[in-house]
Amino acid sequence: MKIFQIVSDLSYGDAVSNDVFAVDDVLKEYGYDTEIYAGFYSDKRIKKKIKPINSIYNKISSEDAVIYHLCIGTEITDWFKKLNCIKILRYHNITPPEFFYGYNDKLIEITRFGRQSVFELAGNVDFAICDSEYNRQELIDCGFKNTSSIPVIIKFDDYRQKPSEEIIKRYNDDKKNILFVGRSAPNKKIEDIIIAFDYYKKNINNNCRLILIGSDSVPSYTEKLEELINNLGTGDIIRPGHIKFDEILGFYKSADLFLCMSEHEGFCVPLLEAMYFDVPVIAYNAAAVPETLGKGGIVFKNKNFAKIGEIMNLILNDEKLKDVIIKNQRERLRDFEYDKVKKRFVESIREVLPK
Amino acid sequence: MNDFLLINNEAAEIIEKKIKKKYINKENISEKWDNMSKDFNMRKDAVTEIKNIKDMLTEMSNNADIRTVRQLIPFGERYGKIRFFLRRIIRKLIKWYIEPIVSDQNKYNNETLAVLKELEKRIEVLERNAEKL
Repeated sequence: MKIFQIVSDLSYGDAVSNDVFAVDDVLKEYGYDTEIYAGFYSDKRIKKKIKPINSIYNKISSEDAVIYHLCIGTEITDWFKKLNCIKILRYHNITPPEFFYGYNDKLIEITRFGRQSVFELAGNVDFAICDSEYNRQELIDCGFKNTSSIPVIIKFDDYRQKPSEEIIKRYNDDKKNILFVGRSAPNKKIEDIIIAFDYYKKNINNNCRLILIGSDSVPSYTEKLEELINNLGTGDIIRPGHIKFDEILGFYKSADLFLCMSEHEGFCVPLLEAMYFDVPVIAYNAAAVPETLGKGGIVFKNKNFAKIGEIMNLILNDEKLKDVIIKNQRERLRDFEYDKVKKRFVESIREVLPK
Repeated sequence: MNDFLLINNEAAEIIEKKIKKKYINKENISEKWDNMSKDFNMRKDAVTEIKNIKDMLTEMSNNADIRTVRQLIPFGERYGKIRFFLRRIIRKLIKWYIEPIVSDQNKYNNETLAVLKELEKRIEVLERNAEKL
């Protein structure tokens, strides 16, 4: 028996791709014969580990298992549905199309198609493993029966690498660094982070800096954000774009606060990364965000910018409060330890694999 | 549970107590920033067309270079393996004919794209000047 992992797009460093590679490592560790197939991949750093999806023909027998990572609308879903083997869906959620209205018609089409295809998969897979309870509930609502919730598998050891000294040197000054990590997409509500920062800087503490890390996935949205930044004239907003891994680590090491205003997340790995680096997290209560944070971090239920500004100020200046938050975050992070999640994943998958 | 914070831990409780004192008389100040967030999304519809042009140009850039070799997806077909093999042979046989045509088309695509990008830039400058007037 062989286990094939299939995904439409694979790149270096994003949450879904990291999960695919982590699942592959875990399955290999437990003695399974595995392969990864992807529709699109171009990054040199991952090319050797992946095979093109069109070369999978005739390789899957009825005894094999296919784990399909679903996070976007693609024709692969229909092909996967018709496969005659053990079918496991790894559901990472698909951003609802309404977030892209007015920004990108193609993304509206792809995400709508993707969410419709989830309904069609119900009753056509043997098992579905979601990376959050929020995602699992979505599948149940679509009519899925055999489901479980196991977080994204994260190799926290990777974060022990040396961070960029240049970044630490440049940003570890007397300014308070407020950080957000995530691609520039409308569901992340980066405009609200900018507005919250603007309020904080103009009304409470001028000695601060906002760092927004993430690649540009919707150019028209990014452009509108740039327009907002220019109109507000806040200053001290750093947008380094998609950067090297050691530089990301450097920014996490320099951060004083992680602010998340996102309104749709299937899991949100950066929240765990912030927790790992002992950066206090404050986040808006939406989708899987409160579930991922658990008892760690601070969650607010409405976007009142004055209150958010006061919370930011309290956390940034009250060392005792910061210590309590970090203690809670460290405790929450234990639930996502690599060995724990790995074990849960394998136990879960064994339920549908032949003994 | 409070109306603003999700009381999920002791830190949230501490903040809840402290924020009440600090927040008094700040409700009016907040309104300006609260409206900014609403405006950002309202104005979204008004600028849709301009943004779509930019996205369309990005999309065109991605598709400007036509590849002569396409991924053949054999799965799910009857006699898929034979069809797949035949398609590969046909593709190789017509390569000498197709490639020069595609090359000419690519040249034309890239030149058109360059002109469109230039025009888009000029429109942007004109719009800015019109706004100033």
